[in-house]
Amino acid sequence: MGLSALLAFGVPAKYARRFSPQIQMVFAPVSRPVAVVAGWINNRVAPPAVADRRAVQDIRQENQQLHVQVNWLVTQLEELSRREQERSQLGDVKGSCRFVKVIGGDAGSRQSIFLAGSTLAGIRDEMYVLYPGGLVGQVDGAGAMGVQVRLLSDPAFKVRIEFRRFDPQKGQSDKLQIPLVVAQGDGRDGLMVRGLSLAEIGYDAQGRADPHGIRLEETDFAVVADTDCPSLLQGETVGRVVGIARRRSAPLMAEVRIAPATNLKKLSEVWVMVKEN
Amino acid sequence: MRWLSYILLAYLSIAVQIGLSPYLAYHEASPNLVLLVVIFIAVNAPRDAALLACFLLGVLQDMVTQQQPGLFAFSYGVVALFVVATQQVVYKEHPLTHLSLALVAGLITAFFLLLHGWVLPPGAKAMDHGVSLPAVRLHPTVELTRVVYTALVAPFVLGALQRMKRFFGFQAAKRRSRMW
Repeated sequence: MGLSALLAFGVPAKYARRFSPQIQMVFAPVSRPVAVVAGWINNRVAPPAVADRRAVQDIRQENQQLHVQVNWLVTQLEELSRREQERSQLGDVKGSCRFVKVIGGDAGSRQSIFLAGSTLAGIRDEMYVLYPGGLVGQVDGAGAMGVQVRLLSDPAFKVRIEFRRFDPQKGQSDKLQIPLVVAQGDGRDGLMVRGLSLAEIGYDAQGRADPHGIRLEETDFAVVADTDCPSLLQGETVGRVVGIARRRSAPLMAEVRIAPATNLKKLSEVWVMVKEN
Repeated sequence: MRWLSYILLAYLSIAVQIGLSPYLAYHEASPNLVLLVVIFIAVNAPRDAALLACFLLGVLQDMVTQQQPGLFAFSYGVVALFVVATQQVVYKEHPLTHLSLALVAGLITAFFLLLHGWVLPPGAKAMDHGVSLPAVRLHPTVELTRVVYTALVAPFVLGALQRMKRFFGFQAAKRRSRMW
């Protein structure tokens, strides 16, 4: 017990975690079926709540624009598929992502998920993990018997982001004139941005919106814009702005809350980016 | 104590905790089912076996969380010391015993988690473009919700486990533990 106390309180996390074996796969035979059953019941009993507060008309308009965009993308996709098929005949092209099933969530009080993958499948520490809605997190502990992913909502996760807004007229999203900033997991299923002043996001010191300039609004998107991340990851969606408030400890600074499109701990499958370029 | 039964229970509790925790979460807090197994072992098993078993459960749980290794092992060791000391004075089958033990054990665990989060915050203090970003710590409200949630679940889980007590061969401290 003395050793465990020393390990817990005396040794920095980055060193202590090196000696922690990854054995999550051992629990997969039980935890995976349990998660599947729990997920099914959860969807039946309490379907995911809709956090979108936009007017129905706006959603319809965006839907229409997206239809147009999807049609265009489908055409592009068909063309790309044809090219990809031709290139695959050369035999040296592999996808940059690997599909992996999720075993379950963190057994403690942090924000992580476990994957039914291993280093034998080419998964390594610090690889990024994605799902159709955007970024999930980063591998933080890959072993022969399991992979642990630090979710972007974990307090230890940081990524530099930019804000974008979907323009229904253009049918695409535009970058807002707001400086790049670090978003950090809040430990409560989301992220927060605390490095921007109220003025930088278009609000005055009282928190009132500037009527003339561009201001950050709820439902704007946060996307990855981090030079430390692989180039393929740039522009990947992190989440949507769900709250803008003043920082209690610094009243002239803003605290922007960002939420991913879904509860990342309930994902059943993800993609691990095994090749960065 | 039958160690094979213990290993099976430990395996099942960790696996169920991993599989169920995202779906049982209430305000980001899910019940700590492993802690309930710790209480079950500590309240029934002989002192030395109970301390070792609870410590090992903590070691196992440390392996499947982002928390610092050793944190749950240490917390469960302290919880076991407390629960073992109450063995002779509590009515082991009563739901109120389960509820109160889970509440105290949960508070002890939460105390160490929060203390650790305060001393070594998971999201360390940082600078961004000259702006100081304070450290992000574990939320006490989430941890306290977890404590209450675990305590509310305790009478059901511990009640079911108490009915299976005979499979674990708990016995007086004088008799030796056996593998089977």
